Order: sequence, then structure tokens, then C-alpha cells
Amino acid sequence: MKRSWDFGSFEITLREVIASISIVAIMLTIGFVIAGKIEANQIDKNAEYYKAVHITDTVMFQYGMDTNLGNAFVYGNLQAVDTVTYPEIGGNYMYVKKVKERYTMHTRTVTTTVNGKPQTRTEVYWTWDRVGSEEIHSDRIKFLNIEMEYNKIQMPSTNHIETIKESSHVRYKYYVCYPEYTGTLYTQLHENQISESSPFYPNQTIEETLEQKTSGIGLYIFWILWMVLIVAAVIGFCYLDNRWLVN
Amino acid sequence: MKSWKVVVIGVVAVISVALMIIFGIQNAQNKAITMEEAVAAADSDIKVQEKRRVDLVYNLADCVKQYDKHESETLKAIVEGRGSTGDIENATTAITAVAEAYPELKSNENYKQLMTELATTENLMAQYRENYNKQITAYNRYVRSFPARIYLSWTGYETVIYQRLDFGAPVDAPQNLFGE
Repeated sequence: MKRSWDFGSFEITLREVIASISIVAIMLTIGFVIAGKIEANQIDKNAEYYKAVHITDTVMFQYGMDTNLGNAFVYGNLQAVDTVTYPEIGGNYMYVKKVKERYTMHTRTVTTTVNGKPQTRTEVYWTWDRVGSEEIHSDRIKFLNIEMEYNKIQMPSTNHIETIKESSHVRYKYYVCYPEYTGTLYTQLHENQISESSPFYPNQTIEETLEQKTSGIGLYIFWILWMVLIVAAVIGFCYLDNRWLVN
Repeated sequence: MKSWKVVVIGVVAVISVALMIIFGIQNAQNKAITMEEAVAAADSDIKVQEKRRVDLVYNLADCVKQYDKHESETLKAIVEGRGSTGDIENATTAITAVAEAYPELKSNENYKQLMTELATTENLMAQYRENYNKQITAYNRYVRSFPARIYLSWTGYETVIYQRLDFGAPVDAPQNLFGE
């Protein structure tokens, strides 16, 4: 019976294969336990999302806050009450981030093989590197016609709208949130307000948001990462000398 | 000398694989139990909400009726005050008394609030029932599908039969609130 396999830079013995089976089995056992916890948590969270009230009008939204209604998906317009901008870009926005970038010289060492001999040389290259940023945002926003503080809602991801060069080596990039969006807010209605930093899903209906939140993607991600870890553990183990297995 | 190491490595591998199989199968049962609990919690949540609905809506309807009655009496007092043999002083006194006792006439607002509460409560009930049905669907799908079906039979797990809710209104649903 063959007792080892040669892969050039390293060799795998039959004992290493058997030991690898143990590693895979133990890792899978741990994986089942962790996945079980994730699934139980997911089932609880799904129940929370399914039970959340669906609100699409201002009266019910306000009433829900007044009566501590609890979790809710609220569909409506998100608007800036007072808009902001930088004079150089103009316009009206809910949020603007100004990122300063500098054109910077870097060096790296490159090794190439010429006529079978390795040769090392230093290469120079230039990149735009971020050196600082500043941001401004509205003080007050309105969601479904109810005014609230800016930080009550997590803003949608920003859009890059303009790059202005100050000199050949300095430029500013501008990222903004527009003054109005339509979408779904998932929040808790209590004590006459909504919870802090409630997530907002632009351009999504309540049904689409509910589907996204109950998709169970977390478990798939866990298993993919866990499989990668198992494969890495096995390869790492086989790559070692493992003389203790033989001697 | 070397052969005992082979035996140890082999035994560890066999134990590891056996553990993996046991945990894998047990994990299937744990998931079924968690889902069963989720169905039970969803069922209980509906009952809690039904109780809240009955308590709240009837009490709110009573408040609205009482306020309605007061407002009706107020309006009658005003009309009578105005019509009492042109005695302006009495009418003014009546209206002032009414205005002091009832600074705002707001039956309409109360009705609006009742309607909002009814809409909110029904919305909430609908979500809770939907949650119950979704939990049952997830449970049924899981316990009937492969490979969980096989694993569960190995562990001796007894599948629970759940019926989804039909949406016929229950007899205790608040109706005819103003009992006229």
C-alpha cells in the first residue's frame, strides 16, 4: 500500500492523511455547534422581523411612537430639513464628505530573473493617497413627514459626485447623500421617538427589506469561512514536517 | 514501536469522525426543537395580542362613548342656553361654564385615535399571525426534508403536527363597539 505522496516541495504521508481526517472531523464538530447557535439566533431574529408592524402613513407612525408600539418597518420619504454643501460644489445635500488626497511617490523592490539569475531593482510609482477628510450634515431630517435629529437614521451609502484639483499634487473628492430618498426604515418605536441609528434601506419596499433581513445569509457566510479555515488548517498541517507522526 | 502510533492516530480519527456524526445528527434535532419553540412562542404571542386587543379596544371605545356623551350634553347645554327666552346673561353663563369644563370639543379627535388604534392593532395581529404561519412553514419544511428527516428518525424525534391559521375572525374579535 502506498504510504506517501510527493508534491515536489512537500510530501504527504498516510499518517498525515489519517491525522487530517481527525482535524476535519473535529473542525466540523465545532462548526456544527457554532452553526447551531447562529441558527437559533437567526430563528429568534426572524420572529422579531416577522412580528414588526408595517407602517406606511404618518398618523400611524406618530401613533406608534406615542404608544411604544415596538419594532416596525416604516416605508416613506427621508428628507433633509436643512441642506448642506461646500461652495465649490454647490447644490443641496443631506451629507457631504470632503476627502483630501495627495499624489505621493512610493518605492518598491522588484526581483526578476534574467538569464537564470535573480536581479533586484527599486521601482518608483505614484498613487493618490488619502491624507484627511472632513464632513458636514443636516441638523434635522424628516422621515414620513415627522421631524427628528440627523443621527436617528443611518444614512444610505454615499455617492461620489466630484473631484476638484487644488494643484498637481493635491485634490479633493466629494461624496454626498442626496437631500431626499424613498425607502424602508427598520426601527423600534418607543418613548415618542425612534431608536438611535435606525437602519434605512433606500429604494426598497417593506417586503424587499423583510426578505433581505430574513435571508439567513449569515449562516452561509459562516460555513464558507469555516470551510476555508478547515482547508487552510489541513494544508498547513500537511505542510509541516510532522516527524513526530513517523518517529 | 512505530505501529502503536498508527493505532493511536487511527483510533483518534475514528473517535473524531464518530463525534462529528453524533454532533451533526444532534444538531438536526436541536434545530427542530428550536423551531418547535419558535412556533410555540408565536402561538403565545398571538394570544397575548388578542387579549391586548380585547382589553384595549373595548376600553378605548368606552372612553370615546363617554366623551361623546359629555360633548353631546355640552352642545345641548349651549343650545338650551341660547334658546332660554333670550336671556343673554344665562346663555353666556352656560357657555362660559361649558368652556371652562370642556376647554376643547374633540369627539372627532377621539374617533380618529380609535380608528388609528384599530388599524394599528389589526396590523399588529396580522403580522403576529403571519409570523406563526411562517414559523410553521419553516418547521414543516425542515422536518420533512432530506437529510434532516432521516437524522431526526434516528434520534427518535417525534414530529409535531401543526395547522396553519385560517383567517376566519374569532368570535371574541371586537365588533359592534358602540352597541347601538
